[in-house]
Amino acid sequence: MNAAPQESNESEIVRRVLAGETDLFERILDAHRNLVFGIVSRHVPVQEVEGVAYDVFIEAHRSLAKFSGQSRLSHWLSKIAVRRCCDYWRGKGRRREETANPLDARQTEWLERLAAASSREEFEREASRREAEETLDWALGHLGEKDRMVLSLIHLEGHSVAEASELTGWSRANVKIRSMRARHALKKILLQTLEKKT
Amino acid sequence: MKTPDRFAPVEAALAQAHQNRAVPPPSPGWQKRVMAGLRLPGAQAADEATPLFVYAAYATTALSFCFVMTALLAGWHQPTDSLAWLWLGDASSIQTLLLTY
Repeated sequence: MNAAPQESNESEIVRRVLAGETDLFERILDAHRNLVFGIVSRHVPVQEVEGVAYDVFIEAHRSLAKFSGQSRLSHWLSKIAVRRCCDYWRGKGRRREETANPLDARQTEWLERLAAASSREEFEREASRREAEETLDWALGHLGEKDRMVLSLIHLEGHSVAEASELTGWSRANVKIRSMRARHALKKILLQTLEKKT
Repeated sequence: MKTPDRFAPVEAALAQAHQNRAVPPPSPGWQKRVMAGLRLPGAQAADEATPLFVYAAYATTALSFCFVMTALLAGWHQPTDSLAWLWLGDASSIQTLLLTY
């Protein structure tokens, strides 16, 4: 509705920050803080969200000259946030101590109850339990940072391949292949866990 | 087809759990820390400068190209002194080239 004035206002703020009015960056922070926290909190552990969001804004400020103004600032910041989340997992490296362990009994039982849910109510009840997030984190921990990001964007958040490609900066073919491979890996991990129990 | 049926509700529940992840609010001093961080030397808003090693790589490549071309042209009329002989390991041509350059 008021997109045009907002965009020109954003461009004006960006121009003035680049001209040396660093304090004006606080307006960008105010306007987009929730967006960045929202993205980051879906991809990194809750205790790391502030740190990664901090890095997002520092990088945004450092590379502000690269903001062309052709897209919305929010979209540009989203791309930085997604890349920073990927960097976070890359920084963690291949240390997978936490995922080397199998799911504990409580989480495995939850997985079984969920797979056997026969009604919508039963499914909703199980899906809203804490075990859902724990199991998700455990399963995602088996994937590399790129597969993890693509899987989250496409299969868990419902983005299209084109949108995920835009956010990550990877080609559509790359995103599509990664997405299929990551989903297959996730399925294998979880079904193996279920089969071991039965 | 038992396997897909078992995975479908699991995938749906995990997607729901992902969507419902809690978004923590920033702690009171977070925004001030960001603004302070912006004033640190490495965080200045500017075009990112091309790293020095990139220029060094360009210079090395250009010098190597000049050296090779000069050596080839210098040995053009004296085939035994050309780089072709140097590559073949002819000791006398190496010596000649070293004396030349």
